Amino acid sequence: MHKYILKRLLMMIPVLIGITFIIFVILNMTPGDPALIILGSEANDETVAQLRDELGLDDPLLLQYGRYMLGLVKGDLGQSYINNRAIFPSIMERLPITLSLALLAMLVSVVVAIPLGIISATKQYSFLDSTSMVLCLIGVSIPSFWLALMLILFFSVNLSLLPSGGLNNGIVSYILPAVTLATSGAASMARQTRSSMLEVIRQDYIRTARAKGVRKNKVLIRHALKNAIMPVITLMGLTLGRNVGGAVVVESIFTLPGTGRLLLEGIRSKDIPMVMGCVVVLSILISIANLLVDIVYGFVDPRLKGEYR
Amino acid sequence: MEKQASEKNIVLEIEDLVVNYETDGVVVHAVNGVSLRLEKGKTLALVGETGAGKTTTALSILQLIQDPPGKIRGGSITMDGDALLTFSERQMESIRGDKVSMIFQDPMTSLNPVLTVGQQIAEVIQIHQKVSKAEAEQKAREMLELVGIDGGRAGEYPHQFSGGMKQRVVIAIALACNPTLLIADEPTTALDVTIQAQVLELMKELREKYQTSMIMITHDLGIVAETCDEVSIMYAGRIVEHGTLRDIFKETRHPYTVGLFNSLPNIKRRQEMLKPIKGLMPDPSNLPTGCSFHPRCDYAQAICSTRKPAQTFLSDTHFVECLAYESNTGVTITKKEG
Repeated sequence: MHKYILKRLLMMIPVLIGITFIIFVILNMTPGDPALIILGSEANDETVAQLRDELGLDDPLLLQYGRYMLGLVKGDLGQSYINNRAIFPSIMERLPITLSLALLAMLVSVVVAIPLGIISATKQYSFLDSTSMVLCLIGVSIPSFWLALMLILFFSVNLSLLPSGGLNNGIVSYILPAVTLATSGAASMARQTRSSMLEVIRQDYIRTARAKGVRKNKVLIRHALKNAIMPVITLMGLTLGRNVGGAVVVESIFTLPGTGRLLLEGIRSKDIPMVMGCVVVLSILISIANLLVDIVYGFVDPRLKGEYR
Repeated sequence: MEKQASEKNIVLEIEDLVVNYETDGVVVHAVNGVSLRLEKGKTLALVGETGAGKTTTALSILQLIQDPPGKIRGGSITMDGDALLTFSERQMESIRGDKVSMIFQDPMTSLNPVLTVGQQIAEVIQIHQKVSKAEAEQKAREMLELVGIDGGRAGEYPHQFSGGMKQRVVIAIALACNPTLLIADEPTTALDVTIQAQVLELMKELREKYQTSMIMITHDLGIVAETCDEVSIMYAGRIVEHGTLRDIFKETRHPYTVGLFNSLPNIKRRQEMLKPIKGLMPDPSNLPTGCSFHPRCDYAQAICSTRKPAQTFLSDTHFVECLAYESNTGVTITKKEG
């Protein structure tokens, strides 16, 4: 198992090289001269040329990329073009907010989706099943920015129950953002739980368990869910990754000062080191989330344990 | 089966059981009035083609028919004086695995892949007996030893066992609480012939040791001859012939039973062609009128398609449902030696 984890961690290296390279190239292809942005449009050509030279912007792209990667290995993500602050600490400062949001949304999704999926599966084609599946379809299709606005309109403006943004109310501030972010994940997870439970409860070993006199609910949890949960776990890994990405939108709507906002500001001001830094940190997070999912597999399904070498 | 002296020894009695599978206007008549009796320590074979209603009959005893669409529409099932069909789900749960247990056809899929075999055996013990977890686990290891598997393998998962070993585990689960009645639904169909013999031998041994009554569902007449005391031949949801092993094998009466025997290859007359029963099992949602077997029967007369045959007793132990054995029907069977 340790060997497997180490192998997976090593496999993250080529993935990161790929991601950083693509982002680096794209950012350099976008119009606009970073030096001009830093100095403002009134700067004279001489100062601009001098700054370009300082930042190494005139070097070949590959050389620039190599220089960036060399810094990355040392844990140095460079400095912001805008305010000259070191990137790495700025990201780390804001990362807890994004992480809390992504994990909280995940928690909400799981707590809502799995019981809903199980109940829908056991009462297939009942009123409850059809209702929840229609809700799930809506949940998957609804755009998160629109949902966010509706939630703010209802809970903040009309009912004045929850804050519409900012972080001044502690955990309460996270409720609406987390619900917004959780909705589509919860919807797809509930559908997945339902369909894989439906498949499992028709299996012979469920009948064996019933023939042993195991209580109906215990059959569902101990015998069925443990088998049905595998695809749901896969989905959880994907959802966690999507939540981290979705945080960009949700953080801007709810004015949460997280990494997503940082990334967005970086893109707007063409702050290449900031954008690169955010992307690198977020992709490492997503890779780790996927690795965790794969490790959890081994604990849930004993048949896979032997394959982890 | 109106007589039989040993009333007290009756473990299971099914009277006129009717089971339908009902979906959107289509009613599948899976079991149409099955009656049977099983004495303590005896083994009854339920023989018939796929779709004859054998498994449905067996699942009715445990009330494990998938509902919807399966519905028990009539009859009674009595076990040790208890009318099982009046039992609540909770009461049934206390009987399943304890007084009545079942071995299913395919050992590959009957065990839960994510629980160890030890856990799966211990679970049934813990449900029905007041024992601690450790005691149940100990008992589970003993059960494994009993079916010929090293007790140390209790911590392994089903995928680490071969098919025959898995079926032994299933048998260990079924016998863990020493049931009064064991239902074996084609327990060896999915196994290799050599393993089949081992598993059957094991079941016979354990059955004798614990005086367990058994219903053996099979379509293999060889297994019937080897393991059973009485035989019920099922066709289209009815028992068409019933008798002791000797009655059925030596005094075969019903044309369908004769057909079953003729379908077997005979090693002494290898040049002879096999004689399969012509035609197919009738569509159970649209059974033929009269005798269900008449469209496939070599001896069928006009009357067979209009009149339902009744049970005709040929001896105390042997009955047949065929108009040829009722008086004044004009149906005769010209006996062919085969």
